[in-house]
Amino acid sequence: MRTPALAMLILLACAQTACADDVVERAMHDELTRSLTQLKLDGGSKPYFIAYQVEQLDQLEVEASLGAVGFSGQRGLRIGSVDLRVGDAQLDSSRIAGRQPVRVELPVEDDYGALRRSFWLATDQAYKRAVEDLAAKRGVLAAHDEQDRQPDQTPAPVLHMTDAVDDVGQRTGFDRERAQTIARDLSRVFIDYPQIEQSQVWVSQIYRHVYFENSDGSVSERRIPELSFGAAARARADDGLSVWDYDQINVRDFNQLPASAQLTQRLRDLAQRVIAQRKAVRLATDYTGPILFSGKAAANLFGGHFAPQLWPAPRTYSNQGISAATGTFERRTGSPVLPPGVSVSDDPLRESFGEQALLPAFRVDDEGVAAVKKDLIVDGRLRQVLCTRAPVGKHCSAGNDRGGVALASTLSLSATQAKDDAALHADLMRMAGEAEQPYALEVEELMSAEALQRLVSGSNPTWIGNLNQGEVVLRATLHYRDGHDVPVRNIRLGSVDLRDFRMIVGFGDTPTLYTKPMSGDRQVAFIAPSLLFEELTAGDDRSSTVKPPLLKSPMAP
Amino acid sequence: MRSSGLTAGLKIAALLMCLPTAARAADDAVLHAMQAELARSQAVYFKAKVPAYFIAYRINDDEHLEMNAEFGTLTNSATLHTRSLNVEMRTGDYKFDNTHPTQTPGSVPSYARGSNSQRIGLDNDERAMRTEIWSATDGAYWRAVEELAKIKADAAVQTAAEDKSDDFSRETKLELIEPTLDYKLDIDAWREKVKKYSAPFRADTKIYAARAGLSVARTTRWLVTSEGTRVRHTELTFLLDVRAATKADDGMDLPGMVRFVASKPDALPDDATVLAAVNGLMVELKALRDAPIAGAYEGPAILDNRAAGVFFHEVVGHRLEAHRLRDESDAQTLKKKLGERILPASISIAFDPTRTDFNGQALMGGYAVDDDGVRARRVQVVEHGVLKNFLLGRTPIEGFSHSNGHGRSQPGYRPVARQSNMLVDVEAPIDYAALKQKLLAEIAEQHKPWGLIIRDLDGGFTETQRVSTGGAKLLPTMVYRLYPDGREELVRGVDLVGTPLTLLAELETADGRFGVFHGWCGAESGFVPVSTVAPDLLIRRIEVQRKPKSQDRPPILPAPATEAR
Repeated sequence: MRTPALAMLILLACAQTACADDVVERAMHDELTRSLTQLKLDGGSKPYFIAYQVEQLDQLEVEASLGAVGFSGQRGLRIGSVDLRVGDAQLDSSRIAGRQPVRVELPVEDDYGALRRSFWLATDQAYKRAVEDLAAKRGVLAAHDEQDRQPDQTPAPVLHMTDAVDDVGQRTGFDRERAQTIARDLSRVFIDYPQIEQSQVWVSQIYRHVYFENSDGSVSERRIPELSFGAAARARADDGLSVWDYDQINVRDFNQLPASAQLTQRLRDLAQRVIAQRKAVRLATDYTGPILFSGKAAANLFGGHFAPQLWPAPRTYSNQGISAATGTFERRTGSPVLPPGVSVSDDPLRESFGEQALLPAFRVDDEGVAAVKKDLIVDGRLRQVLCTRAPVGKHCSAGNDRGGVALASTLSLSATQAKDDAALHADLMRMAGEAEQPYALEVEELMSAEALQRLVSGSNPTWIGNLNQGEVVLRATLHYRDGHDVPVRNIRLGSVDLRDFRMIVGFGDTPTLYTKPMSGDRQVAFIAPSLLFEELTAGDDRSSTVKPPLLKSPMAP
Repeated sequence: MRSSGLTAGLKIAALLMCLPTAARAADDAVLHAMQAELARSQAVYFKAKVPAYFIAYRINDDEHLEMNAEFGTLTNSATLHTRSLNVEMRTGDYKFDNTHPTQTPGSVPSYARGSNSQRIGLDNDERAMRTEIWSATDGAYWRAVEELAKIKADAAVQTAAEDKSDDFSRETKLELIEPTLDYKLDIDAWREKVKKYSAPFRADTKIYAARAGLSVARTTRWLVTSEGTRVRHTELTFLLDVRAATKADDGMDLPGMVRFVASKPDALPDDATVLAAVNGLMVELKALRDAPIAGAYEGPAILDNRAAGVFFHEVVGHRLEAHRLRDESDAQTLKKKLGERILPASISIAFDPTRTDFNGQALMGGYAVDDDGVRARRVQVVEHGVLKNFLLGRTPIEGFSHSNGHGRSQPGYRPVARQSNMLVDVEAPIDYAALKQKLLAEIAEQHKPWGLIIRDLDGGFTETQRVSTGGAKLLPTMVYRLYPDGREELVRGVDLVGTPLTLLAELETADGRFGVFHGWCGAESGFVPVSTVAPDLLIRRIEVQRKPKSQDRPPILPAPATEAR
């Protein structure tokens, strides 16, 4: 049974005559049409749904340290993927455990014949696999009882959408020399700080050109430029332990980068923060009490420890039976999951936060479904979760497929009872007193796995310690009840679970943005104000026990 | 379980012009940075509480240019430039150091602990490079301290190893500063060429994969050691590969490949030569598609020269790599055979990294100096069938206390004894027709319905550990049955299997028709390029077994009729 087309939605009209001139679209369309009508094994069923995607990816990566480029790479490739299903929308061949979409490397040239050949072979493989998978799934369902079974694919309005070929990203294109110059020049900043043992500056540019067509009739073409500039630096305290920090800016293209003088100043600030951290104290005893997460740390914590519950993966089928959807939110719609007055929404259409570009923004998802803003948690209660056209529970709607899985784009947390910094700080100190702690802990920066990876260039040095032993805190302060503050270093958080988020007792009034890759290279933006937790634990990081170097750095005076 | 394997398929290449630049060490910023840090490191780490006794810095600068086309269309074209640093730090002394093999069950020998390298700046900025070297040195030192403590404890509780050789050989220091090589390539012209070489496959709609690829690799290696060795040398490799695959009606995937290797751009084949090879490959694939499946069989066979080369590489070569012969977990098959006849008296084998070509064909396993900084040299391992020598890096074994220039590694790995250019020679060879007559005679004598001729193959692998079968496996692509009446029939779907001593005992003779096989050999120190030169070989008894096979049917729909568009 073919999924009915509910409506025709045209966002930015692509005249059929114009589209027909595009070799990629024509090759996709012709092979999709042929496969849909002619592909059939003896005794097997025909496909009821086919979707093709072509992702043309141009990527530039430059890394530099102390004025020297350490890596400079550029590549361009086209990847085609095929989602082919047999059966019908109620019960189809999808979601067999461990199955990945059929992907194929496509010619980079616009060669109609070569593109069709590639889709022909990939579709054949996907079809044979789908026939096997549907039989296997029917077997699983015959032997197991599935509660609350839902359709395997929900209908979606037919959509035609083409991004305009605008100036952003496309205009400046990929300028390797410029990227190298920026990285090389700015990495020289750290030469002035001999206490910095290791530093890395990077420029990463991606331009995605994504074509999509499915057998429902949806067609889209998107152009997504992304550029990241970042730096990370590490120094060593006298006891041999490393302290590090980072800074990162996400924009659409070079023209949106701050001026060189501003970037230089940001790197100098970074260097000084790291150097200051060397003199911070270590926690003498484990801390249990109120913790205030301010700045990016709040958005980072929210993104890492709470948000993934909002995009549970759907059930899968295997010879072991039927797996439950991931996470616990599938069945908690209507229940309180955050304190009253707190709301969370996901808005793929939001393109900026202040002056910063929101890289995860999109107008149509990877299943050709139009993006919409969704209120996920309202007044502390879960209203819906994010999903693809494979529903999870009864309270989700399609439109959040990103690379084959449901994923947020820009997730914002807001609270009606927000307080300014002074009030929040006063609450923190009052609670520390009630907990009979001599001080209260404020966490200002948590680790970024991406920045760490850049800093160590893929190696695994011993100074990192065991990353599985608690969330790494990069910057934190002990606020003593007598009014003085002491920076603290090398600490890790104890466990933070969902119940802790229900016990948040204070919210700041200034939201901060933190962006991180969550599934492959798909970025998710998290926006959250400062968060004051009633009680969490933190302790000294004992997983790294490296001795100080025997030899002074050649940079040392 | 450790295995070593030779594969035809890791990389690809070809090119136009290369020029040496001046061989001056004085203006080499990389060497300066390495030596400056080496001097500082020696002053501190050699006097530390647990003193180091040897430090080596290796920097590898790799520039790769690759372009590939499928069915006449470019699929990718990319350049990649990376530079990596590897620090070798040894604590203890030459006799017993932190690399000493431990017999603890489950422990990994020091040479097999994988890559330990990090990126280093491409810009020849001395300050930046020295900082990277300094940082890596400290990490390497503390690892070496920890390793030595553990190995000393292990040695105290374990029985002594059978082979009591030193852990590290003393070698003469070497100073060799070679010129770096520049090259120019008409990239657009080569893009058109790889498209041209992959285009003919469009004519056969049952060929499902076809790729022509050019790969140019320029590697400059620097090595400085605390013993005073100072080396810089550059290698240029040009590979042109054409690969294609079809599928039989029963689902069996049938791959094929032609490869051209050149050390000079003007030695690359012209279009006519490549296209003739492409045409030959297409004919072979079509024939293979229609060929019957062969089953398990034991009996006489001829291994054509390229297959014979892989046979010797897997069955003999890997068992001559000396570092494994002091490893108590290795089967050490040939260790005690020194001075004994292991091959027919007419056959001799040498490894010669100084050899750059064979009859005008470039060889891939050559180098002037190995990765330990020891000058390359020819090593006669088998003379008139008698085992005379082993391949050595700087890990000595009983009776062999020095390297013979075969310490090799992929960047980041610790060098161990590896093969180079293997040259199999035969005395008083017969011709191919006579060899075939001998095969027919064997078929008759053994009362077999047919013998086998293995004309080509994709590679092979072998297992040398005691816990494994100790066997070798070759992966033929073109196998023919030879019937008693002289008729040949192409068959498909078998691999050659066997254990080394049994296989060697069955070698009968060889002819004088030599062929070259190029490949990348993977073992404990990563992948290194090698070549084998061998004649056709008659073996009285081999065993073949069925290959693993895909169950996927050929595509349901015919290829799209794209030409109409």
